[in-house]
Amino acid sequence: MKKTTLLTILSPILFLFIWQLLRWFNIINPYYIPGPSDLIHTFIFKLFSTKPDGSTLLQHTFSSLMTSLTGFLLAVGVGVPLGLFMGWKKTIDKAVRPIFDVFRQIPSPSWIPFSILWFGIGVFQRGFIVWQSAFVPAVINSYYGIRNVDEVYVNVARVFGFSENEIFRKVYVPASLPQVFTGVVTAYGISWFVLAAAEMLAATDGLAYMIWTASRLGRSDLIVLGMLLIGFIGAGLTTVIRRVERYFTKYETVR
Amino acid sequence: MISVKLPKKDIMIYALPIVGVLLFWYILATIFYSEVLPTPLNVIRKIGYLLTHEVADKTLYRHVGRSLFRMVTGLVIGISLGVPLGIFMGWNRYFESAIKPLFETFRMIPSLAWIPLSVLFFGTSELGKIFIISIAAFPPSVLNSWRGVRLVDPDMVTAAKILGAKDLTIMKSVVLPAALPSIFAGVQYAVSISWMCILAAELVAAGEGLGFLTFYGMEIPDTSLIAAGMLIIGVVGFTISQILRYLERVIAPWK
Repeated sequence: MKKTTLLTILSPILFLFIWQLLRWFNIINPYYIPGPSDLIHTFIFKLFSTKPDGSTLLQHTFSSLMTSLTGFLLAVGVGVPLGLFMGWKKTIDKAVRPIFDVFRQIPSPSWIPFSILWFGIGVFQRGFIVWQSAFVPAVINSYYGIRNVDEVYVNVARVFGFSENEIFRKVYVPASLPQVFTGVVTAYGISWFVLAAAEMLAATDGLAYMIWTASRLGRSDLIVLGMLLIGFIGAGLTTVIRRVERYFTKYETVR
Repeated sequence: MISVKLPKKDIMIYALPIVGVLLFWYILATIFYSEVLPTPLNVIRKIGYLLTHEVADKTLYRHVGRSLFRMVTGLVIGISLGVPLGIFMGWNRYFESAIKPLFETFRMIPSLAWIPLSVLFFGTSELGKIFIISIAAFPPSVLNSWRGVRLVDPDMVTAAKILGAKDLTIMKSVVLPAALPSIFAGVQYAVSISWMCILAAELVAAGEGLGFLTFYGMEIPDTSLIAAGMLIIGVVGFTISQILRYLERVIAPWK
């Protein structure tokens, strides 16, 4: 085995081992930082127990995932076509772009107070926040994706007598897909990040709600467990999106 | 985005949609109650009020100053830890493969998910927010410095070696200048992430700052205060990004 691969495998094991040793000899205070063994224990316990926040781990996970996926898919479903059309049709671009330039200066977390006043605390309000935060990157990247398409391709298509609609479908959209997917991945990252804020501020379930409650109760084991889960789920879904991208942009690898 | 020389006609076209949105907003606001949506006029009046009066016992300048102070302090800590680590990861293959798995795990966790732990560590004190911002600024600084150094043309390094340069000299006069644009891109990304992060952190747990201001508007409730806060947040964020663009041209003009 290569030395570097060995290091990559050994270093996390060593890290966990030292962490556990520190916990055993009580060098770190478990009130602030739990040991790996505490995490495993809490994980198994929390799978079946609704203490201390009223839902089991799977219920929290399910709630966060549903909110995040619904809002995100709606944002992509509306945002990507809008961005593509903005890049393609100059008139739509002129009408929508200035509004967009203003709106994208406002970071998504600052929409949370309005979302609570408009929709009340609940799934709908969090869905709106997720939707709003994923919408902007989805539109912007699709827009630039179309704008960055090489004019040569378009001219070639024109010379061969393609209609404008055909050019859009067969030249613009396929050529802009890599950038569109960059936008989709960014959108997912941001919306997952903002959902955490929304759940901490006002919610009754969800992973971020769980760790926020745990913080009030001084349960560091539950906090770290929740943080790791939030991280793994976010990374897992990003990988899924990357897979979808690879399926749609097979031609990219030929180049 | 906003170029200096806009012909008069273009300004008209640019301004028209914004005027349309303002009108639409005004009509919506008169239909609904002001508890749901303030009119644009009220928001402007509120901004004028904020400039001269105290809100939540602090002037607007103090709220803005607080947010910026937290952000800059956190950024300085996060960047000054992250950039050297990233450079070293790009420089030494063994160090890279040992740190990589730990860093990738750390990177997965959204910075906002650290809020509960920071509250447990530091309470709602100033240190907690600075901690969150440092954590938010850390991954992009590491990632971009790491990639920047990794992507330096190996021929240039070999050439310097043949000419008898020592490792330190190569680092200083070959690797760093070549990696600087990428490092700066990382810093830019860190700034925009931490701007979002400080607003969210102030929403969840703070007694002053711009994020708190919008939260306070929700608590009273005073919708024109929320909207005014959002507008100010947008203006401050826009100013920050313009300053960064200017700095980029000064620091790395060869990009």
